[in-house]
Amino acid sequence: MDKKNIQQNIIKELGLEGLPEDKQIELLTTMTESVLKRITIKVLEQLSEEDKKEFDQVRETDDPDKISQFLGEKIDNYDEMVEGVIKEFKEEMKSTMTDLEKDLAK
Amino acid sequence: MVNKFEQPNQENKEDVEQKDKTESLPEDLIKTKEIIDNLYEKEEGYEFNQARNYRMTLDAFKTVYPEERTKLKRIKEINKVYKDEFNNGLKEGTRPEQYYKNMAIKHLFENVFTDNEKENFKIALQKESERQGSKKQGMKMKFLVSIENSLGTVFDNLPDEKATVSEDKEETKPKTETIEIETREVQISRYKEELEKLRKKRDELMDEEEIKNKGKKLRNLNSEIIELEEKLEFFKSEEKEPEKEKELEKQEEQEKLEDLEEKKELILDDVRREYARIDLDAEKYIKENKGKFKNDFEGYEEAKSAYLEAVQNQRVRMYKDAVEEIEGLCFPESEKEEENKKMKEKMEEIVKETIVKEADRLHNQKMDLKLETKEGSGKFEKIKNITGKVVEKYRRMPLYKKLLISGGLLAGGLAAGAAGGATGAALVTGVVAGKWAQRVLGGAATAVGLEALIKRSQEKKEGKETLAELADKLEESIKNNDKKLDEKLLKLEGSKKGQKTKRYILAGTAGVLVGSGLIGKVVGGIWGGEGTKEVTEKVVEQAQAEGVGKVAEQAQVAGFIETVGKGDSVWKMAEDQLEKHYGEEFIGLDKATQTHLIDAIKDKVAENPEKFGLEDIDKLKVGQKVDFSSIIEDSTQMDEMSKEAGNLVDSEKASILSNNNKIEEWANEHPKEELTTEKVDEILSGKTEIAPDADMTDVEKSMVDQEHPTTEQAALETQINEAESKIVESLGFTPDEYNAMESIKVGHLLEQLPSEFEAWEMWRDTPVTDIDLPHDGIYSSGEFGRQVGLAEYIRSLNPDEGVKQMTIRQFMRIIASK
Repeated sequence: MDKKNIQQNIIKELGLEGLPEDKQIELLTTMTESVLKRITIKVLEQLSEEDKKEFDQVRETDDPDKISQFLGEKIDNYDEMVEGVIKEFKEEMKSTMTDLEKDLAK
Repeated sequence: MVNKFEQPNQENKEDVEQKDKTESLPEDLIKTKEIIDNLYEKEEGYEFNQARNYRMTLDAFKTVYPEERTKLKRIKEINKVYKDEFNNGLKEGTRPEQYYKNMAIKHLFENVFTDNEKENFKIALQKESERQGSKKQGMKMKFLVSIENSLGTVFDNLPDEKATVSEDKEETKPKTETIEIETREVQISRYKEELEKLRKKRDELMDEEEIKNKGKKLRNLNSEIIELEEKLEFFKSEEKEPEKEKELEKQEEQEKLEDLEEKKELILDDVRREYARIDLDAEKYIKENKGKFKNDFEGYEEAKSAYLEAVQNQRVRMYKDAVEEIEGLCFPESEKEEENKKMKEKMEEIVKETIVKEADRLHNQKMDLKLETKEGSGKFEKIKNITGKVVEKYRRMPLYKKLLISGGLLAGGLAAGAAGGATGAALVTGVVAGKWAQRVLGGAATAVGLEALIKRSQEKKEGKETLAELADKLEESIKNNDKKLDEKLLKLEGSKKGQKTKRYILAGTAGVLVGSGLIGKVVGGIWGGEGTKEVTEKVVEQAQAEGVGKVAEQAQVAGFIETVGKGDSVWKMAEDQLEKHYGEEFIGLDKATQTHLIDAIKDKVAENPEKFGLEDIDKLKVGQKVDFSSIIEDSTQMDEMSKEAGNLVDSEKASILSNNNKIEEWANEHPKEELTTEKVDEILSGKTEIAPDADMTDVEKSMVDQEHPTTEQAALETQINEAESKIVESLGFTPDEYNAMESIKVGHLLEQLPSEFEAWEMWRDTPVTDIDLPHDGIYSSGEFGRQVGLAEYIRSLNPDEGVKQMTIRQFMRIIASK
């Protein structure tokens, strides 16, 4: 996993640092929502029906340690999976943005 | 298959027509018809998928049930089942409403529609699909999907069947509901139409020999006629009130505009969905067919260009809003370059915003489609429900927590160890993401901690030292997850209550800054990147600066601060303040009393202008802020002023009104001159003469001196001149702006500004000096926008080559003469 890529600031990567602060915040939180959604889907995809029910209950406890333990046990290399989703998201965003810019400039 | 209802009556067409002629629809069906017709009309001109599906479904109903009465009865029956299913689902479950709507529609298809109906629907929809398909590839409709989507829309708009039955017993209620969704014109014409029909029917009945037997029917008809006549009378009386009429028209216009904007947004959503779907299919296609490209896939190019066009349109709308916003700042002529700079910045912002948001939405759309295909609609709904909850939790968090999570995920990178092991787990739950953020920053250390330290920095005025201390503490807190620090800070916070509100604002701002403006650096620092200490110092510095700004902003929100605009005076601002804070109480006063109050406030400002941040009340600078809170908030003083104003006698009032007239007259005749206190004194003392030609230039004077032509041609010329001015005015041009470009050729204008989108992109990318169009003085974005508007206007009239050879003025005068 390319740690360097993951740890780069997306604001810089997407060339948004020149935007006003409120706009940066708006875009960053919008993208975060998408990433949270993707991570959740990945988790659900890897859990069996039985595990999903259990996950629902663990989620309800609001206890990060319990949740962490549960996911650690049920999903192999959980942290790497999350990193993978983030990396994929960043790459997709960059390439789609480039394409869109090109297409709109035509 | 369980058929809940009988197969609809397929009546003989002639019988049906005969029946239609002799019998009107019952009240409840009329209402259903009106609602459906109204929805149908609303969708007119809306060319994209969902609305088209919807129209197709309604058209299919028409094909399946040629007789209006049968169609409406059947829609009512199906609507009842739909509503029951939906309401039952809602009682039981915890899923999003849309889920139960989909289930209700599915139920209709499985259990309620007859085989015959299904077959007929299918044929009707296929025919329509083929018809549309021949016009545009890639937009073909799938039978079930389209009818499911659109039936839901129809039923959502129809009233609850049970409610309709009970309403039917009351005579007036159903009509009230109709009035709510109809425009006034539609309502009037409907009443007139109905009235005409009923009158005709009454005459027919009266002519019949067995009139006695029809007596009851005739009485009913008469009462309906009277009711409708009364309603029309009401509208007639309303028309006598032109003010009200104008207001209504304005309101309707506004509603139309809002509706249009809403539709445009919907169009983008629709075309994006269609493009995402086709793009996924095209990806599959090129995988399966080596050597082929996405463009080779049927419908791909059309869907893509429709999507790009919608994005372009959205961007143009945003550019136009930005022009308005910047123009609203009223930059003086000498600062036009600054205005242009601001506009370009704003445009850059719009470009980036649209690109990022669209890329994000497109991905989400594709992800949903992939998931739906993979998991099937049942499981997909369940997954969507869970992800929805996670996202919702995140949305509801305070901003600084949201930003910390954003930072952890996207801006600083993920390092699970730093967050105590539960980072990733916490992230996916949404529920505990807030706790996770607290854990990372040591809980109260963020909000209360910063607040307490800011307080100390305010009190001791030892900015730098306190900042360094804060940086140390925060760093320590982050590293050690130190709960003791939280407690200490909480205690400190609780010790003094003074200035609490202001400090909270500062701390809140700091909290925001922790995760936002310096998000990369701060979060990067937290997760072991750059030096936390330096970054935190900067955060607090900014928090203090920003915090003060926020306090000022709060005051402005409360409405006591006026920002000087072009042509503003202390009188105008005082009037605005009185309107804002006293509303009807002030507006309802007579003009003389109002003037007295305005003048009293002006006098207060004039007594001590420095207190209001002014050097001289006659020398206001555009953009300058004037805080009226010391006057308006002083209730004793305001009461005194009101009392004095209330005691004015008639002669005093008459004198005030006469003075008002003199000032107004002078201002109208000297639009370019500033109205200063000195000038007002001069006007009122009679030192300044009100000379109608005072502002005339030599050229204007010489024009006036010319002999006026008296021929009909001259009269016509005047009419054309007036019409031309009106068109120019309606396009927003100032006379000077129009003069600057009136002699260029139409073709040149259109060539320079080939489309709205390209024009604005050119404005963004090209130095102003490189744009080959004449303009008035410094070329501003506002003037450019008006030229774009003019080009669009001319283009909408489909000009031919001959027209393109005309000058703008020649063209405008031809239009004006028509």
